[in-house]
Amino acid sequence: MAAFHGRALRGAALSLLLTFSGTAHAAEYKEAPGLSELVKGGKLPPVAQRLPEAPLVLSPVEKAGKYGGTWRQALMGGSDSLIERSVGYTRLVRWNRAWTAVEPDVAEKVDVKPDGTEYVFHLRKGTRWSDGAPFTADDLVFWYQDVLMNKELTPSVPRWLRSGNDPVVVEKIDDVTVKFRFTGPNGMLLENMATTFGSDILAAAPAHYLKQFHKKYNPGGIDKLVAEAKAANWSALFLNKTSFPGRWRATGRPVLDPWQMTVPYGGTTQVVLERNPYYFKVDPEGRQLPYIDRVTFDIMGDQQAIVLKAINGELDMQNQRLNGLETRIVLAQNRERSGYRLFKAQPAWSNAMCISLNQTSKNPVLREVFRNRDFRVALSLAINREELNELIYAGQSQPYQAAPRPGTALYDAEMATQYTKFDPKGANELLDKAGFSKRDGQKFRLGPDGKRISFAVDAATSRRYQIDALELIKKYWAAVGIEMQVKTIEESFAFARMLANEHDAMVWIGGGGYDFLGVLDPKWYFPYENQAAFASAWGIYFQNPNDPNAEEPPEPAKRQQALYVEMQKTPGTAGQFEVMKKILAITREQFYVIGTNMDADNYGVVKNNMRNVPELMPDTFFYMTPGPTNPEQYFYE
Amino acid sequence: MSDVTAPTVPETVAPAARRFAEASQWTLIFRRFRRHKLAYASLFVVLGIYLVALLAEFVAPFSPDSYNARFTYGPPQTLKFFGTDAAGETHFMYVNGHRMSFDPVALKRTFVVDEKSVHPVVFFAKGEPYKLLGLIPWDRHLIGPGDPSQPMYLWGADRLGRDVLSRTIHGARISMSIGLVGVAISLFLGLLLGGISGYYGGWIDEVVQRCIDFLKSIPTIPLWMGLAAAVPANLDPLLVYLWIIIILSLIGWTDLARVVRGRFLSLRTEDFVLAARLDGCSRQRVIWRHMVPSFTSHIVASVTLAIPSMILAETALSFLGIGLKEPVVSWGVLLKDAQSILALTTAPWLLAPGAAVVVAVLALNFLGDGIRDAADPYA
Amino acid sequence: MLRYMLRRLVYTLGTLAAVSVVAFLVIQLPPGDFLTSFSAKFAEQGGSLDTDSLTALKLRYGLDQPWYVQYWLWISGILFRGDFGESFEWNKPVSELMWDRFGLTVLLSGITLVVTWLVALPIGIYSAVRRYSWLDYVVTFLGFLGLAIPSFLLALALMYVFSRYFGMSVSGLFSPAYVNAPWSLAKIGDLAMHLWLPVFVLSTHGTAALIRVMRANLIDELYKPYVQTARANGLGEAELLFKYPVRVALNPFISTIGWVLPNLVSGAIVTSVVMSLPTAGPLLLSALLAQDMYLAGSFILMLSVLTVIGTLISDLLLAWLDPRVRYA
Repeated sequence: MAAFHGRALRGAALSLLLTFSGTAHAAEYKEAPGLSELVKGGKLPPVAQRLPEAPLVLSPVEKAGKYGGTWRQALMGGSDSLIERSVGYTRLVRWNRAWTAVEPDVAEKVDVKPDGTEYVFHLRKGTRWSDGAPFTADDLVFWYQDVLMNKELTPSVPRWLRSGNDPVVVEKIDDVTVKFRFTGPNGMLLENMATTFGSDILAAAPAHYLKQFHKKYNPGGIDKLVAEAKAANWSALFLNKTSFPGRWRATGRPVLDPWQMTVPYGGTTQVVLERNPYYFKVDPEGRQLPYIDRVTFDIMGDQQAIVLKAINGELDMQNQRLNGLETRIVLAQNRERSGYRLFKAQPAWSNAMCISLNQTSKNPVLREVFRNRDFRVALSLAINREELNELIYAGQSQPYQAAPRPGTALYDAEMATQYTKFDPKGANELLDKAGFSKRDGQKFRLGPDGKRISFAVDAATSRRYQIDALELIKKYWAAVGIEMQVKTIEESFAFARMLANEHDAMVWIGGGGYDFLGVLDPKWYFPYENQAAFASAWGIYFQNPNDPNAEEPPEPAKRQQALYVEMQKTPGTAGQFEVMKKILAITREQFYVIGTNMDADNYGVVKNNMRNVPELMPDTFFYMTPGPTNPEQYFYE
Repeated sequence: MSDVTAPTVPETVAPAARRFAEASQWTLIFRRFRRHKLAYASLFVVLGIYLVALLAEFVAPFSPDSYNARFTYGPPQTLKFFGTDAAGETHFMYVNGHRMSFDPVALKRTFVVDEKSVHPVVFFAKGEPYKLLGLIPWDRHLIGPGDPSQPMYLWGADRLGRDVLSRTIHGARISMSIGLVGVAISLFLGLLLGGISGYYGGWIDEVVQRCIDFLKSIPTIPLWMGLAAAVPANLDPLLVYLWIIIILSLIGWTDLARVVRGRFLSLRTEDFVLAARLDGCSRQRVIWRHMVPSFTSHIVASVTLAIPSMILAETALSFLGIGLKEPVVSWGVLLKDAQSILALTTAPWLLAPGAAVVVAVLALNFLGDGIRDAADPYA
Repeated sequence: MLRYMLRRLVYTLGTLAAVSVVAFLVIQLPPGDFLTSFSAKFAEQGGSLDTDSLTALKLRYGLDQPWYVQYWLWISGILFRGDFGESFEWNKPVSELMWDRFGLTVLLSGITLVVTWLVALPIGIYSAVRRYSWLDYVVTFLGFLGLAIPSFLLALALMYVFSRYFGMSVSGLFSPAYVNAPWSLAKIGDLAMHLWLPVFVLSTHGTAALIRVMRANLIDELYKPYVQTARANGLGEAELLFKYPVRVALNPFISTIGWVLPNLVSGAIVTSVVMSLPTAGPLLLSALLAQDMYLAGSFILMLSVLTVIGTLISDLLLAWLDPRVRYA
């Protein structure tokens, strides 16, 4: 990238570029001592031949490091996304560390046509897969023609690769240039590519390896392979090699990641990855990355066992599964004994607990009550968020609504704090005014059917703090005459109820937060999908109006849905944020979700002698924490 | 072994032996039971626990969900005697107050005992109002702070500053009754079906046996999980509780039924049963008067093992997240809270409900042991 | 005897058929399916799976079919091809996953069983013969204590103590250095170092139960007339004890021997989860929670088969030992 060949911007195309401080020349490239041995033994080509002509020169977080060491982490259970995030975050384009923009990764440069219909990706000439095979435009064409366009492997093309109903067309221009073309504008291709979706492309791209598992290229031998693997059919076998988490279940898959797997994520053994000798990045002094030799993941069955590992100093850098105030206390206590420091993993969402009253509930009375905006505002006013903060978040939080975090481009102070002031008197007045003035013998308010308004809020068993908070809110609401029950359900069962629109109300973490989170996952801002728990049926309508569970939303929500479609067509962050602000203005007005408190920062552990780990990073699946902080440049002093 | 008590005892028999011979079966059992000292003591422990469970609102100083933000993870306060407060007044019982500081990085309050501050503790303290046994409104608590505004944490506080002692006491009600009700259901089913199966034999036996085989051959935890997850969503907490008990006893009765059946099968051919039958006793009488008493000891042993194992099963279900859940307060729910490194390292008092479980289970076991030994008074 | 065996065999097959249906239904009982729990896992980390991917997965796993179609696919695969299907969560054949963990599960269960019997039977016999002696009190107290402490609490507490104060890496069955190493003496040594802790936790519970039943059974026998007769005939106390009462007292154990292995797997779930053991329990639990139905269903079915076979064996044993049962 440093060797930016002075390629001129093409016409009026926007280009995604980064400037880097250092420069390096082929002759000066250095490699890890272990690799030099192999080169001397003739088992590996020299470093200059393994690197692309213009390797990506990565500026470190603190300083250039040195080679060596093992990075120990722990996974929980069978499909932990941490492995994908910490060692698998390589894609055509990626998030920058601060999560404010998209920057090049495997692609050296992207030219975007201003109307968002064409994206030209310039690959680095000479990039190689971890087995030494060249990575070229043909690999991406294989992914496109034989995976994405293959009905058996991809029954329906994902929305992010479509414009309206038309899928993307990928064309090879030359060996290192590929064009993604859409029939209409697709403004958010690059942002989507930087999330987990990006891995799905590169994992399905190594044509030289994957062809043996593809019916088209191995018609004679495929049946034998399927039988050997005991797979249901060839597509199952193929998808197990390319999709998450199947792609981590076996070794042999060539990668562009900093490390390649030598012991797979099988469940009974430790997962091990060793450095990829063909990795395409160097540090400013020309040393090939990554610095760290090996990465290991122990597989644990219980969160407390991971905490135990952390406080014993058996984890070198990790924040996954270490969240929660209780954990923070023990992490803080054992810092000196076990030689680690803490870094902040800031939840990217804004709210520790969003209360969604389901406006499309199957209960017609509740549905009517919940659709009353004054009712929702009154319930919000009735919550004593300062007390919640003191009691449950150890004073580390602040009253907040489901809104963008402070300091972001979309931040709106009014939206963030409206109706957060504790005002039971105002709540009572509002409820009286909204037509719920009649009360029964126990002072509870009556609904339009003449019966007491009473509903259950679903909460996940594992989220103890939310259950605690709900118990308090139950009292606050009882004080203004509204009866609520806390219903704790095992996490995945609670989620299933929500997806099936069977809940009356539920709580979950969420509520916007970082800009890109709100843009990519707007379910807290408007009925975007069935996970928009405040109106699942409206969300289903947006995804598929013909779904039997879909319900046509009212005008403001429909307007938001239309705006979102408009935003998806808008290329460029600035333009997208402009549209997003219009959507948020309606959200502020509609007040769908009752927020409580901002989610307090979580902490991760990092060994004292491990450097180049940022002090603060956003924590979410959408950012792929800690991937964008470049684990390849972490090192041990 | 059955009707051994002879109607008349010859005058020549010594008074002690005479008392033995003339005593009823239950008197003999009780006499013998008292010889097992540990069991005898356990009887009172068990009765005590059940009494506490029954009068939980009165015995507990606070309600299980009354919280105090200032005392999150507050350590237990020692109950002291005869102290003088700032006003120079002497109190029979008191606790010392705490000085608090807050560590903003570790997010932890540290508590230092303040010897100078003396908060009296009194019996029949006025506190939160409640309804005793669900009927009698009252506001006195067996023990509590003299000044209701002052905190008193004899067993420390949990993450919300709730009193662990009060929560343990309230938890006793749910946990102890789960054992009792669950075992009652199991016992009823086990005796009924096992007895029928063993006594009648034939196709009835076959049907019951196949049912038992079927239930026994499904691993417990998956069955529990499936059934617990199938608890309808908007069920009254009391019904959820009953549901859990039924799930727990669904497995329990099969063991008992097998034991009962086995005994019946081998007893059917015993001489005394044959004798009773030849004497013209009805089937009912043969079963209840002759056969059942002869293996009571084994049944009692199984039952007393079953109560504590139900209590433990409830804790295991809660640990897996499929049993009772907060806001219900049971020992299992409380122990799930204690299942963390934090509890082990910095707040060990959260393990107090564990101690309650241990005491209850131990006492029930010793009690059962004693009854078992005593149930066979002629041995 | 042959007719008895045949009859039992027929019933056994019927039970198994019923179990296979119930095993499948139990997984369907909770709301949702594998995909809802899969997306819940993402939502738990503030993420979200898009609707398109979910639809694609639904088709891929055949979750759009009604349950009886799915059941037939599964059971016909097992019956006709010996194929247990594929685990959705692990993207691997179910049989492979089960075999992976089978060895260590049997090893752990076997050792636990042996330890339990070795400790419990002598203690049970002793405390029956010397009842109310101080040693009887001490051992029964210790036994009951083991029974009374919830195993998950004991497991975590021991893990903490041994890792904090003895610097052991206590989770799992191997140290990180050995987990992927090929089998060697050093690895076996490492396994032994890790094995005793789970064995200890797992056997505390079983031991207490066994002591108490053994003691109870033996006391029942000891006061029977035939013992008196034997004693009157001048048989030595030890010979007398082991020749008849102990043997008879063991009878009830034989009738439960069939459930030993399945019970150990099922009962060890909680402990194995806390201690992150690479055994069958945690896999079964996560499969159940994730509603990974072919894996969970096959697991339940396998355990059930083991139980049913075990029951059959113990019934046959019992019939052989005690002719009265046979002619019932």
